[in-house]
Amino acid sequence: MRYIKLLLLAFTIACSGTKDSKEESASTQDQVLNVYSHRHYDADKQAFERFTEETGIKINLVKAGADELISRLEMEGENSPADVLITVDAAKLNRAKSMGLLQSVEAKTNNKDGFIDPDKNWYAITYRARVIAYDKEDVAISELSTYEDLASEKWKNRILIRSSSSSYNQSLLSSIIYENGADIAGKWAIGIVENMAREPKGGDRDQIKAIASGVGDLAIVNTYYVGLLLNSDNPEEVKAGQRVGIYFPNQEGRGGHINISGVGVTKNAPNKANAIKFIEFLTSEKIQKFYASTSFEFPVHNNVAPDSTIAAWGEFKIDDLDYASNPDLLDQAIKLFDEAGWN
Amino acid sequence: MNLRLEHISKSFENTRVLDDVSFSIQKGEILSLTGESGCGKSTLLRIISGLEIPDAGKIILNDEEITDWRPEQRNFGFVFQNLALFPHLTVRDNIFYAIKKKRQSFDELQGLLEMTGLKGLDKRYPHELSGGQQQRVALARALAIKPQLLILDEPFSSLDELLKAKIREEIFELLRSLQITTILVSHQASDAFLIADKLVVMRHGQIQQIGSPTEVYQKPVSPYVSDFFGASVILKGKSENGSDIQTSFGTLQITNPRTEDLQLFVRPENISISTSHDYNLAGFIVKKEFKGPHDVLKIGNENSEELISLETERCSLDVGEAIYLKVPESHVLIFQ
Amino acid sequence: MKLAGIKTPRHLYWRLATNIILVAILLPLVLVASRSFMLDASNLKHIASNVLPLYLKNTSLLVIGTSLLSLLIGVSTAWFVTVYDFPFRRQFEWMLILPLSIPTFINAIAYVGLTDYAGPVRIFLRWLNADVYLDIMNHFGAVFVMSLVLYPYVYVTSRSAFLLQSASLIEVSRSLGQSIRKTFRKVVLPLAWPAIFAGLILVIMEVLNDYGVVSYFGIPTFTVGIFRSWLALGDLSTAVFLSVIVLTFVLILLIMEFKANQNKKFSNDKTERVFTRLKPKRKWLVFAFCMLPFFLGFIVPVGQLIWWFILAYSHDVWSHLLTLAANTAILGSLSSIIILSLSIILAYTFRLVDKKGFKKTLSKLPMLGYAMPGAVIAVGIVALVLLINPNLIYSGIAALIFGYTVRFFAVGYGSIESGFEKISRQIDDVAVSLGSNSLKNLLKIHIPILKPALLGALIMVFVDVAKELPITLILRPFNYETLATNAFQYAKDEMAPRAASSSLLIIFASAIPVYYLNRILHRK
Repeated sequence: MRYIKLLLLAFTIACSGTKDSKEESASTQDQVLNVYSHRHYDADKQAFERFTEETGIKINLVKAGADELISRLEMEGENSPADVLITVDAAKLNRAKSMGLLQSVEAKTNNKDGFIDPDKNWYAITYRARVIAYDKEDVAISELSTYEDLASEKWKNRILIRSSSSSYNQSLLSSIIYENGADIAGKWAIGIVENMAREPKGGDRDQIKAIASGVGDLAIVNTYYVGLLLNSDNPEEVKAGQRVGIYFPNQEGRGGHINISGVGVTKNAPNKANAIKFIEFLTSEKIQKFYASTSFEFPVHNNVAPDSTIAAWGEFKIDDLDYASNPDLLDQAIKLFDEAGWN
Repeated sequence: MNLRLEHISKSFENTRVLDDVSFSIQKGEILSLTGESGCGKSTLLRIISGLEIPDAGKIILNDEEITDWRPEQRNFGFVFQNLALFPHLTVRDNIFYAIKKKRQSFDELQGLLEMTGLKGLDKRYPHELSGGQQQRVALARALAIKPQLLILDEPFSSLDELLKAKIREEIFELLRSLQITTILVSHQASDAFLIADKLVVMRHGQIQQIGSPTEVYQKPVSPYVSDFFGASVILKGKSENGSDIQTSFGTLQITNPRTEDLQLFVRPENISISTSHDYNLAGFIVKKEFKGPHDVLKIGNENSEELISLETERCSLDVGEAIYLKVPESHVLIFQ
Repeated sequence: MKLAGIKTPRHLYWRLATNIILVAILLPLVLVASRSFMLDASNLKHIASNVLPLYLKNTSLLVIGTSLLSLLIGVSTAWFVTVYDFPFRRQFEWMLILPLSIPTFINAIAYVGLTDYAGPVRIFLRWLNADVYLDIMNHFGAVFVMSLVLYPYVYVTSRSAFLLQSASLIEVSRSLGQSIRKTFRKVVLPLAWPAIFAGLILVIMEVLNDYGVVSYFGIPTFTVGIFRSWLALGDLSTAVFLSVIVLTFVLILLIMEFKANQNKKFSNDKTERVFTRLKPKRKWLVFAFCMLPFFLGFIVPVGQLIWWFILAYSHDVWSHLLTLAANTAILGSLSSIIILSLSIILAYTFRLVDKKGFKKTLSKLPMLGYAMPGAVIAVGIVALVLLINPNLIYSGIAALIFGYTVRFFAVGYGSIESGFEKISRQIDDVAVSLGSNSLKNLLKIHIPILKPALLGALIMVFVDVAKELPITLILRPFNYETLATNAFQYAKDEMAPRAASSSLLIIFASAIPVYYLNRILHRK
């Protein structure tokens, strides 16, 4: 019987809890912003809190994968409560855009060139670079040049990279298709698979730790995770991070590949004005500084410099986001990965 | 084959279930272990078969101590009270459960089936059999391993009364013809009388009496034993001079050394009744019960509450009338 | 069901309620499945020619491997604690269930964290100057990591089957000269098989459903394919098509289970169980055998998490974690009560109406939800809720609980159904003859008898909900976090140490009910 009483108690609490939140959302109806976000970082939480403090607009947040959020937006249609969609990849934003889920809005930002969608359907907040992390002992910088070069014979059994399920790898291959065409991109994927030191597995950090274990000599990773690794809670991970050097490829050509985090206003946003305020807030100088200092990402603001951990890797030329404007390239990339046997 | 139990004791969580039990059984003998439920006979069976290890004492088989042997090493066939037929195996597979070379023993199977009256049923599953057939499968399975000792635990308790008499007859017939050494546990005296060469009567984990059925019936060592093996008349008595015993129904002349709290035991068939005074005990009829072929009289007296219950032929006396009993002194046993 | 017939069918209300429940649970699945008819042929062709064989191979390897290892661990440990007397046997009875409280994905990151460059094993090896590269991110590792936390499903079902078996069957076999080991093979195992199989099906469904471990370990299985088609290719239909393949496989398993259970016969007499004494050497061998899965499936991952927790505890905000724990507890309790109530209605109706053959398999259909990837179910729920009232999703946890109900119905229903089967039908007849009606019967007779099964089901569902991720991520209302979503967030962000506190809380919150689960199983 005691169990049953406990459960009844829990039930009452749950019911009262849901009622409260309903009333809350009703009373502050004009002062809310509903956010669908793929970003799930503590930095965001703090930034959102500051937004509420400054504007009085309460943020309602749903966090899930970009594709889940997009398909939810699609299903919800006109009923969707979402005001903005945040993803960590431009291609996803462009997919939402091409599905007609976003709208063009005019927000005042001081973003660098190329960090706003040409149709103003989305605005970039931050970006990370997909770089080569190399074992300082076994690889000389002079040996490194481009992403394309990684498919060449000399890297046989030396490359570490995660699964093609990672949207970062999908974006990278999309940019290679965009630059070189599908045939060459397909051969590149096959070449990388042949050069892999082990089956693709784990996350970006795991690739660097595998270098530290001596499994391979270089890894294609995201700067964000290198930053995290160098500031890890576990001192041994920091040691592993210090063993690798960071190389920005394709500096002679189109520039290093980047992934942006961006925010777009949804087609049926009930709080459009708040959404624009939100975009302007996230791209403002002080929040950009805050992001740069806490989340190991590159700021998109013209006047904000990256954090010291990241800045230590030096300035680099970045590839533009044109490849991302065609979301079909993403599908192509997936199929090329599958055909190459890159799981 | 000779099995000896020496000073077996066993306790479960501070309750003494068996207390210094010793007896033996010879080849071909059929021994019946009896006693009310909870007297420890089941535990004793489990110890004999190796399913329990005694706390103290020894089990000796043919001069070899087997106390610690595992059940599978003993080659004792055990027929459980609930039969414990394997529900997922056919009759044939149940019987041949433990037999390795199945092909060679085809004849043996036929023999067993025939012997136990299961012919033609060998492909059936236990749940497709009647209670009596299940009983026979359990027996056949135990016999199939050619056991040194066959242990039957309350083998007929799951059968209904009508069936029971028939099956019991058949199975006892079979056991006798096979001359197989058997321990039969039963709480029913009639089972024991029918077949046993030797009776072991237990109570509260101790042996009360060991003997042939006749001995145990006619010379029980305690009221418990006497009660257990049939109706008995028990009277309280006391003696002042060592030869006359006063009961509430009158005086009996029996020599005995004790004086107070005597219990006199007589089998009712040894008591005769009469209306004349020359009989040694007297009382009157308290109640008369009609029991078909005979009547049962309850006889009381004015001195006490004691009642004697006697089965008689049709009796012409009525309730309240005086009646006299003749109790032959030689048939009276005295317990203290 | 004939509503317009001349005679009102018996048990009308029960039938009605059951049909409503069946529809409610199956509708989201049907809504999703209907999408597979809008297949994109080019995507399908691509998948069939490039990755399908790989998915098949990997999925089969993992299913077979995990099944075998879980059977080996689950059945043998259950057998040992049931018949042998060895040190700490009583403690093992419940300790062996504890690994169930660890989410597979958490177990995977804990093991990777333990063995990778920065993990304690390697630190120790480096200290010895004997560093070796340890890789568990492969098929073997996945089987190992999953079996260690899934075997308790087999353990629990086999143990309760062993306990139900009449001890005299084992004893008679031994008296017929068969050793314990032979007895186990010839009598115990065949008789317990239906129950063991039921536990095994849960393991298989968990493996089929796993996304966390296989995607982290880079092993493309069907589930990876489902997510890849849906998320990367944006093609839900192909995803659903793939999950229908998985469902077909599960359906076959369920039918097999159904067939196996038809011949199930438990003997009801329970003889007092006697534990076989072992020689000291063997005693410790059995002890070691039982210790191993507990050590590897619980002590090691929990130890790794505690180490991480020590590294990262300064980042934890306790008040926040407590809110998350409360959310998890509320979701778990509510969904388990709801699943329980619905299961009772369903199982009871099928008992009353006593359908045979095909119609009986109807009662198995709601179990399919367990085999569907949570994310796919979530999509179905969203589709359904949008049809009814879109506000349901954002205003509260109703949609979330609905999602859990569809997903975990099998867990509760399975044990309640088998509980009902063990109640003699004569009891119903007697009660009816005494003038009781079917509702009164249920409340006064069945539910009290079923209490252990009900509590067991309650706990299993609770633990599953506490660990659940994809449905929670998609269907939760705004600003709603649970322990699982919090742990996942850090794990996904490759900050495993910071996931430690929430993971430990999940394990802690599940371990307590799991401890009680054993006491319920054990009650006579």
